[in-house]
Amino acid sequence: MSNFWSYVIRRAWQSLTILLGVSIVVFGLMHLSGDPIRLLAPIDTTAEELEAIRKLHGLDRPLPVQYWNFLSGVLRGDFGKSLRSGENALHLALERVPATARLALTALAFSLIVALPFGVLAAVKRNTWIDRTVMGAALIGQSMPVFWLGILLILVFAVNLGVLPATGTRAGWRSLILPGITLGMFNMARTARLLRSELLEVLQAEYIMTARAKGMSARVVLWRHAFRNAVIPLVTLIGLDLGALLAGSVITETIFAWPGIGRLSVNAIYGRDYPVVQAAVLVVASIYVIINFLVDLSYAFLNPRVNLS
Amino acid sequence: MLKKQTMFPLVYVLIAAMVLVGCVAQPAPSAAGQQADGQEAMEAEKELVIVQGTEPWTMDMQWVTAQVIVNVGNHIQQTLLDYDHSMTLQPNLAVSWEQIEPTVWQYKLREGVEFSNGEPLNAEQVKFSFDRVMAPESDSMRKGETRYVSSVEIVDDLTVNFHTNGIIPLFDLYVTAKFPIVPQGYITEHGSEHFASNPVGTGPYVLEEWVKDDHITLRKNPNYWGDEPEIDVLTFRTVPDIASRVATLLAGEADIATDLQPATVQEVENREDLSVVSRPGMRSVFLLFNTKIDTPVTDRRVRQAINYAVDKDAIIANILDGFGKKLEGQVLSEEYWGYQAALEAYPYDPDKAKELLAEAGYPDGFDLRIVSPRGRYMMDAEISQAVAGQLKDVGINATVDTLEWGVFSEEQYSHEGGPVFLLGYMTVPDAARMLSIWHSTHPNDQHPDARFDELSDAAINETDVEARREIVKEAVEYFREDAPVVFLHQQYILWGVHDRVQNFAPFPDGRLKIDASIDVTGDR
Repeated sequence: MSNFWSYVIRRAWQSLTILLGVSIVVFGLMHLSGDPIRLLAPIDTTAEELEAIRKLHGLDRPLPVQYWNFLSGVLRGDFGKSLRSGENALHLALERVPATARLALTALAFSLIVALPFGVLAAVKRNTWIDRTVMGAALIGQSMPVFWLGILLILVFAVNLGVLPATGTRAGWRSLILPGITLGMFNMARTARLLRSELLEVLQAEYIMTARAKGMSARVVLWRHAFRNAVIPLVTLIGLDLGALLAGSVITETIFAWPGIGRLSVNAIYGRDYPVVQAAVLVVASIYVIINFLVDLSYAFLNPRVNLS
Repeated sequence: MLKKQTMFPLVYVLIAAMVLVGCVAQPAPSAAGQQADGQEAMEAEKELVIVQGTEPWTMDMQWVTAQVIVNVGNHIQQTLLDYDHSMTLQPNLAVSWEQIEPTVWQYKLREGVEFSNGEPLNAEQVKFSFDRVMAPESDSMRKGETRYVSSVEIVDDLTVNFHTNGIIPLFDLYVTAKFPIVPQGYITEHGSEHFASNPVGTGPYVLEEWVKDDHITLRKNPNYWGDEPEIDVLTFRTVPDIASRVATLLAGEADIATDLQPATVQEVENREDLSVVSRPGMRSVFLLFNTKIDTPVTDRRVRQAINYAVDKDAIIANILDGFGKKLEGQVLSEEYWGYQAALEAYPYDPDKAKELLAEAGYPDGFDLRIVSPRGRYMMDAEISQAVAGQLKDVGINATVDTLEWGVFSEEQYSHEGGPVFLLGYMTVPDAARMLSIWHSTHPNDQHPDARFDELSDAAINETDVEARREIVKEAVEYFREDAPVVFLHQQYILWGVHDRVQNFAPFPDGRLKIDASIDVTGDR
């Protein structure tokens, strides 16, 4: 077996172990955090009636038995039914993934479209007012709390100017702009700052001086030689960012009433809807693990110095 | 190096793909969404957009009851009886009802009513609806509500007899005013899981589209048995964040925003085209004492002292900006049968409080822990803090623990926590039903008291109306005297409404119901 395939198998096995760990943690934390039936039943439900409902949901059994039932169900693709709606928990989680993915990809696209040119500009115009302005703006972008930025954008562009929708998805692609910017702002600022420092480092390298000495134009040196090498670490960052954006858009989804998996998870956690929380967390964890896996693979391909074994 | 070179275009391909997926690959706008974009369609069709703070998680109202679910669901599914704005029972799917024997209630159904899928409403459907929840294998959270029913008997096509477990004087109020009637054929054919997302009922609207966590669109039911609604399309949107919800209203994207906070009222009122609709609701907010653990609050004098030490008027004026109505020594509002108009609140009297504390053996006060939710009731954590501050003035060193609702509930139901919890209760509008929550057999009760149990049992079971009135009066007065709670206020219903909405008013129980009397004029 080649190094590549043994690496793939080893990473797949590691990923499964991680997901098993995640399942134990999420199961344990949820079941220790409160009684879902008491939260859902009307206030005047008697103790006997509550116990009867718990029994029907299997919540009266010992925790290890419940975990085993859960895990064996997961292996069959059955995450159970929502305690709140009776619907298939995995289906509820999966149907939210596209909305979250749209938002995460928009945020990533926004962050790259802005960060790449401004990162390069700051590096090229190092120590000038342009550099200081761009990096100052990046620092502000990185420091702004998401909930504050989100509300601010809504007030300016939806309430005062009336050019973009405040919340929801009903306005099609226009609905994506404000939440996309809000979610992508931190990544945009960080990517710009990282690109600037990488580019500055590369621009000092000997092969750049060689290229200049050969009489190449500044433009060719920058884009063909310096930028390409400076951007390598960004590939890893972009992959990890995408995972983080998919998993970490809870606040943005809440502010903009975006129907993603983050909001589903939060609602399910508040309602102690164990099956839905477990399904949502495992879906997000799986996406994260897969993206990480692909990033590692791509990095190994892109950089021959990385040894797969 | 060759591989590195191939990477550069890859970055641009990635960006292009993201832009493409992010901005273009949208789901097709919903039918209602398209209408929102098209001015002509707007003019042709009347749409009312309501933003709520919580997403309904099911449309099977027989499974669970919650305000946000009822607000949407009661336009689709209906009950045998209904409340009017004064919370008096009115005919709905049943045209008449009476207690024909001590343990038998007979309901006559409305003739000619059909579910939106064409199934007729008849006695069989009513029996099916109750049997579905009462079945041993049913895990409906509303099972407890059917505890008074022993069986449902079909007398004829349009007549049903409910056989009750014992004599239940207010069976109609307790059971049939909130319990939806569902279509047997549809549920049998498609199953409960399908029904939860695709409900069918006898109501004035039918479900057109439900994009989970985003919006629910209801369209006028062409075969509705009652008065035809003026509004063609009802759209319910969920915007959980209060600032975003208000912004959605201010941006002209909604007609009604529910559950405002006092701090957001001014922002809405500043706009000429928006109004704040408010009224005292039926939810009573109070501090519950747990006397099951050994703390000073096991002493009645201490509980009374705390009632004297809390300045309810100041809390309503300063924290709720006036959006609260003081509870008059009872956990009831005037909509409840058995409300005691002559009863008065404990006055704010710190000297009297100190006197009682000294009498109880705590002249120097004591430490007291108040457990409070945050965001469950209007300004709940802030109210708890204010109470703690006021108690310090009489020597009680009160501290507040603010807990997430699930953790809060876990502590409350452990019966070993507190000893003080900030809570808000609302039940069907009957004093005996509300007070029964303090019966020692109830899972919520934290203050068992033999005398109160006797009064509560008698109030629930007494069949003679006048005798019942007297017992309830005694029970409510005893409750005030015994003070198992600190009486605070009735929570207000506080909504932002666009002026183009005509004749709209919320119900005292916080329900939203768009009927034929409500209309919209002009644009947002």
